[in-house]
Amino acid sequence: MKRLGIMLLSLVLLLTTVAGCGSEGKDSEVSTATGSQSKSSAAGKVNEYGWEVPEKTLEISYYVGQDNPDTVAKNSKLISDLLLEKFNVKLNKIVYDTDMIEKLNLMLASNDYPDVISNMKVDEALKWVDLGKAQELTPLIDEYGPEIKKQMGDYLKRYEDDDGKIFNLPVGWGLLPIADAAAQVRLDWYKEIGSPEFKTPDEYYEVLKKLVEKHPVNAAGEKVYALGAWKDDVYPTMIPEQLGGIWGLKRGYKEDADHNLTHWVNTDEGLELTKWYNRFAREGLLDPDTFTQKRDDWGAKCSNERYAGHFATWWVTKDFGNMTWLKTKKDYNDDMRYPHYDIKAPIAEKSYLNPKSTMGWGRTIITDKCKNPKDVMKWWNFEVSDMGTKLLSWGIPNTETSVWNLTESGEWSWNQNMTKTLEDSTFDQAKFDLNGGVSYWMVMGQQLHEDGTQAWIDQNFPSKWFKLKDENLKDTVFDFSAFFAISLPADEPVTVENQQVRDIVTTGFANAVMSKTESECVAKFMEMREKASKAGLKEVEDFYSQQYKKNLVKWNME
Amino acid sequence: MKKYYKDTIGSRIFDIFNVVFMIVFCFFVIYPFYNQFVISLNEGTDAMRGGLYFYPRKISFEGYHWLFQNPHLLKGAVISIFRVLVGTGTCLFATGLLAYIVTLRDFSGRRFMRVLFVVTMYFSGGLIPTYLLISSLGLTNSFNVYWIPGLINAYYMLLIASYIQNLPESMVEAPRIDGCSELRIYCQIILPLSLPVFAAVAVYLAVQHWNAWFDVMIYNPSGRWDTLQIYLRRLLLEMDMVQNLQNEMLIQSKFKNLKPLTFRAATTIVVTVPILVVYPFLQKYFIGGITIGAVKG
Amino acid sequence: MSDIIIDNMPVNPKQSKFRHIFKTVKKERQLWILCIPLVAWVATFAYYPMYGIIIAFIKYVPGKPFLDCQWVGLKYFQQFFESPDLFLILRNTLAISGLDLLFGFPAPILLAILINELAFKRFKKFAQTVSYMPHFVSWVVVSSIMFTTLGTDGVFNEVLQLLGIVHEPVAFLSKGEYFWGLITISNIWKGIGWGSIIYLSAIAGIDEELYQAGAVDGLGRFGMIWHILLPGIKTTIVLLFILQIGGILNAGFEQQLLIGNSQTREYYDVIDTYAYRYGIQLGRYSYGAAIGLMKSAIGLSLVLITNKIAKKVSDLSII
Repeated sequence: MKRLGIMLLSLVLLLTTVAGCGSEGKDSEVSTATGSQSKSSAAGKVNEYGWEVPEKTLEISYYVGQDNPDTVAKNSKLISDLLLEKFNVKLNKIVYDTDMIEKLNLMLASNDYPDVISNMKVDEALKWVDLGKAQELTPLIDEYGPEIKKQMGDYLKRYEDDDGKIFNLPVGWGLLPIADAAAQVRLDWYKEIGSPEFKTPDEYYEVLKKLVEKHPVNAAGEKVYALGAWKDDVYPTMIPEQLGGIWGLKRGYKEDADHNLTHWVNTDEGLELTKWYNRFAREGLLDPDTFTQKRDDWGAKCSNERYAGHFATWWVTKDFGNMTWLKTKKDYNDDMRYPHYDIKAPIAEKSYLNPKSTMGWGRTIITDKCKNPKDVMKWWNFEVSDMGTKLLSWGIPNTETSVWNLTESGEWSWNQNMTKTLEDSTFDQAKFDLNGGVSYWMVMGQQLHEDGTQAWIDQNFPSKWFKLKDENLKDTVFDFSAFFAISLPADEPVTVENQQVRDIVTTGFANAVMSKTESECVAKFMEMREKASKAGLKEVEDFYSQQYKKNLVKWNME
Repeated sequence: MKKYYKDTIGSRIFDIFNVVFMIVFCFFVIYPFYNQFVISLNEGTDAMRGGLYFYPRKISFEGYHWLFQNPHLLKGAVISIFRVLVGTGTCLFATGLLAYIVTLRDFSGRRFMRVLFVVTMYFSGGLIPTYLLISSLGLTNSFNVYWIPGLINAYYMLLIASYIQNLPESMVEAPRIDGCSELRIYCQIILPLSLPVFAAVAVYLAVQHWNAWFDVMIYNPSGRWDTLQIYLRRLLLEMDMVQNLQNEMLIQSKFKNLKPLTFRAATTIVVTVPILVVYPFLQKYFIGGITIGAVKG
Repeated sequence: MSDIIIDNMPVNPKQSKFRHIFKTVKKERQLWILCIPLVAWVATFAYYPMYGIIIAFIKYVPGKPFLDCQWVGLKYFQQFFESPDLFLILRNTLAISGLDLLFGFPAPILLAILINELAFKRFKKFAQTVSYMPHFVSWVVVSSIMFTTLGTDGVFNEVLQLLGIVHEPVAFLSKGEYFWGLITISNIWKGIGWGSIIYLSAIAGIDEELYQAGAVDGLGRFGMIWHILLPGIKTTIVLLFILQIGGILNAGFEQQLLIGNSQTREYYDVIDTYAYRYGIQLGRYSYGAAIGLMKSAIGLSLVLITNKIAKKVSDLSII
């Protein structure tokens, strides 16, 4: 006992010393960081990026939510050095591993938060505005944000409140006309059966059926399915929403001439899509684990060549299928992939597979703690400019691993050595991240710039397959921002009803699809419809229709 | 423990059954763990194909490499160990003392103290009031936040008390007549006699401290007192976060580097192995049994 | 334990109550001095923050001072009781924790006894060390293990088909009626070794003299277990049983979300998963707080009631 105690005690002492050393090391790091904060020699001049270098170092602290602080620190190093040296700007990007909403609540409760908060969910941002913690941006934009006005154009109006004032700006705004979801088939198998054309869901079904007949099992003797999906996150609710596009539904809603929205459960189209999916299940063509497996399990099956097709976003089949086969299969050939096709039900006038939002994925506010809001706005104004987008999206120029170069006189060019790797799929994302691309976005847009470039680096060099996809699907992409801009109010009955409907519909759809007969499927669908309307589906539809119409009027989009 | 019973056929059959059962049981508890080990040693893209059961198909240490990429990891491990030692030691001492006090049958405040603490097992103020309290006490960004707010645990108090209750009352009579202070009786008589339960609670507490991440995350945002667990959690977080992103483009650019299966498996191994190594040292306190008679004499 | 501190002085009936208290405190002063820091700690870190309970009775908006928020009284409690899912989630919660109580509670006790009865010392140590390994396997991993064993082309279905028991794979994971069983089994698998640690320590604390005495009385092996071992760990068993009754409304959270799926939601949705979806996820902190408060109140009452019953039946009390 005694000996153990002594051992423990000495261990503790030893550890204290070691821990002490460790923290000393950290201290010195901090002091060097502040020490380097000096006046830039280029003050007052306009640098090659088109930024007027300020006299005094411009410092902005901003919180962007949940991320790994270690990775963020690693990836911000190079670009923050460059910003300090050439711009005399010090951006202090703050991330915590805490959940963002939780952290924001703690910040509010303890009244301790930074100058700028970015990447907020819409309702969070509005809450901060309501509490009076966000500064009004409208006069700042008028005075210091000409570039913001120019780049955002009409979109800027979408962030006005009812009084025409702007309190928050978006990050990731703009229309990126890339198709996400589509009907996909395994190309080499499709070629084997003579590439029969398919335009409707029934023809798509026939093709998939033939593919499975041709390849009933994979190399290991495991069963091959036509389609499959997974249960994680929002995916189960997304299946009917994505499929609905084939029948002319817009993200699960049917829009009539007066812009009234009807939920898919209340439409014939909804019943049709459920029956269509159910047919796969009845005939053993749908993976029976569709609603029980996780994405990783789905991915394992995809990698093991157990799906003839897929109906959803493009990159899962690329990562789990094509990219995995490229690395692991000896007999890999370029046709081992899932290209994308547009299909449309006869009863639909048009397919709406790819609803797009221009609203961005987050909002940014300047808090009431900020002493120099006009400087922040000046920085944002640079951020959205053509050159700002390049620097802050592609990372630092002029190094061996940079994707772009910039001369002293401000002329830019691609770094061919690196862009080549983007074209042949050998691009090293980790190295790219070290250059600080995508690191410092606060109000960045993802629209096409005047010179034809784009913030997402790989979108500037789409592969031929990628181009083919967008060519095939270009008519399915549409701006549905007026719908995506709707946010459910916190703690109101409609929010609860919406959640109840979601619960009922997710369960109901899965059960209807997995039915053994078509009549059972229809019965379960009707049961779901009834339950959903009891839970307040009508109120939810009304709420969405009303808000949708309001946005259309406000944005002059009618 | 010595055998005090006679060998009978029934007892022999029981032994055989018991050993067979234990072997099967061990397989069922070890295998999933072993399987994680296998996956952690496999190459990530290949592991996604599944079908890894008994040995890795394509050996690679990238999972471990990924885990150990952080240069501060060693410091984190030291802080974690430090936290386990301080947190377990202080909580054990304080909770044990409380348990001793509430088992004294003639102490008038016994029931009051029990109820006072049992209530805290069920009611708490929630995150925000606790956070405000901790920061107003200046405990944020300090090591102290790892042990002071968790100093006494009502649940373990009850566990230890249930053990102390079973000790013969005569044990403390003599020293008390000799004028020993209560604190001394606790340290010199109760503690050594209750080693098994203290060892068991120590195991629970140590693991709790070793695995803790929530308080590190909330109360120590400066990163100065980051523990091993928080570094590992952040890496897992990066993987999970990808699934919560709303933007397809953002997901796609982040997802490229990640191999969730291998990484998760490697994390499981790294977190568990130290505990597996330390456990047998504590085990002897409750597997061997103690003889009260010996202490008495 | 002690009757030494208090001398058995006859209490004078004329003595005032105050004097009586004063005398008792004086006699017990050592103990009370020890209590001071303990009480100070609990007052600061447990009782002081409890003002947060008020969130359940107001319409709370984070960032607004509590006093500025609208007082709504029992509105959120009422909402919970009027929720259309109330029956479903109560049924699932009680079913899952009931099964846990029935099977999950005795399992670690049995395991502890079996480990204790192992004759080879090394195997005993080994079995004990590995028994708690599942405790460290995260639910994410457990759920993927379940998928590979119980999925439609999992090992279990293959065995069933080989034996000819079923002709086509059974979708164990997507049928609600299997869910309660599955979650009970996985709870036991994960917790059995971990839970047995405390029982092993209790067994270790049994005075060896009792076994010697038992041998003299001619007790056999099973007699020893029944008459010496089990009574020796009775207090621990009763204590943990009472506490588990108090936790009957905690039927799990993470495992439900990971093992459950949209097809089994009507069987997995328990109070905690419901409160998460309809409380925090929808920004309704007050609703979540109200459900939490109700759970706490019921939990504590159950503990007090069970404790009373246990005291009557077996003269054991935890409070």
